[in-house]
Amino acid sequence: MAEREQLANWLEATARGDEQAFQQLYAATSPQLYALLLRILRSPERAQDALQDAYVRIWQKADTYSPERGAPLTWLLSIARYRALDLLRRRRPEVAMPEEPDRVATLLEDEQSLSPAQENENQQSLAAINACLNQLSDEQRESVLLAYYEGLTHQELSERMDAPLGTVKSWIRRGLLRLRDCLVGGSA
Amino acid sequence: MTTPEHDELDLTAAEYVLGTLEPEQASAFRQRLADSAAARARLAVWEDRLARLALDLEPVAPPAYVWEDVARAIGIAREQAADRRPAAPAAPGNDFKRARRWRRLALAASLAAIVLAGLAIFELPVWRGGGQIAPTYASVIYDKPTGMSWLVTSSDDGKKLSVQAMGDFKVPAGKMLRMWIKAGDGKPQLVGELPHTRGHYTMALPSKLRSELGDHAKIMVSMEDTSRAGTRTPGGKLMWVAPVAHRTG
Repeated sequence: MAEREQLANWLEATARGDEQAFQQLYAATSPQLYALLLRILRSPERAQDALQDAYVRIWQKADTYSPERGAPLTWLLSIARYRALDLLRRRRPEVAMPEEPDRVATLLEDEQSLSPAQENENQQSLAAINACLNQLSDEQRESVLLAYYEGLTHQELSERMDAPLGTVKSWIRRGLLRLRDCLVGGSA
Repeated sequence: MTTPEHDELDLTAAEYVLGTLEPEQASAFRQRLADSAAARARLAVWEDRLARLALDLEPVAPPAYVWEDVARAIGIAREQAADRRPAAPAAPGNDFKRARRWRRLALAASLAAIVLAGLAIFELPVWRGGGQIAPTYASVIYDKPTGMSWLVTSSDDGKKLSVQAMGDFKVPAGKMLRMWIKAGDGKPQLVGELPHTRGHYTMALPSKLRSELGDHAKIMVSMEDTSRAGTRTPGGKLMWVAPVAHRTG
């Protein structure tokens, strides 16, 4: 996997219409995006369709990326995952990719916000999120991970985990709060 | 120090990214995103946080033809895409590859036939399935609620127009999507009916429309009653407006 700075450079060049940079970006990142899409969609054909759609969108929206939005790879993964959720709920497209914010200025307008870049400076990483996940209860962790990796809704989680809907909603919300507090507090 | 309001916004953003909000909650949050820098900031933070979970997955190389499809969709010439095929992905099963190609060919052919039949009546330019062009101008039409998009490109000599429909868009009975080119302050000029089912279509662009396509042009799409098929002025709901960009490099 290419370094963060290299990915950011390719994204920047892609935003200028540099096809070769886009190709390099695809080569470096598509295996990670495809793995996520396969996990969520559980079908190579659907995952490939979603991957194609995601990279077309990346080509279109590369100019909206800025380092303040987070690491390049996590930004790309988010685009792919939104597309996967769209496909999962095609008849209820409630998770459409949101419009792009006005980049840096909008982040700085919110004094309370902690930008992804700042969090990265605090060395938040895969290891950190895994450590924080371990601080969640089993049910909280399982519900958050099932929602992330399989795109399950509250109702689907309720059925999968054989728990009342309200309980599942509570697991998710409390789990996310604990995750946030752990990541922001650096207690992992 | 966080306030209950801040917590609520933060959690809503988190659940939006996770995909667990109810449809009406997700819709309300999208509306909030349009107006609130704080909401957009929280969204960006949670996207970055949760996407790290995907880093736990073992990377899987996609089949090579996915890149070729991407390259075609964004207008990189076919031979260029093949020459520049990135990485060395694992070869998929031949049966699946054939099935995927066959599905797409069959769809494109059948839909092209439908569009051909419809357009022939009105003496509009004819869409044909498949075919590649080296684009000079490009425009992307995107429907946010459904994620549907179309890539519209014109050839170097401006004689051909290509539309890549990235999915299926539901058009109500009795309605049709019509595509227009609008140059500057001029009147919209009818191109034809916009194909709305996944596929790749090309058509010969009439000479009077070639001069309309330029850096300051826009592609417009309206939803019209099919009863207006014989007309050449827009009268229905304007669905999308997309700028036309000149391809560089």
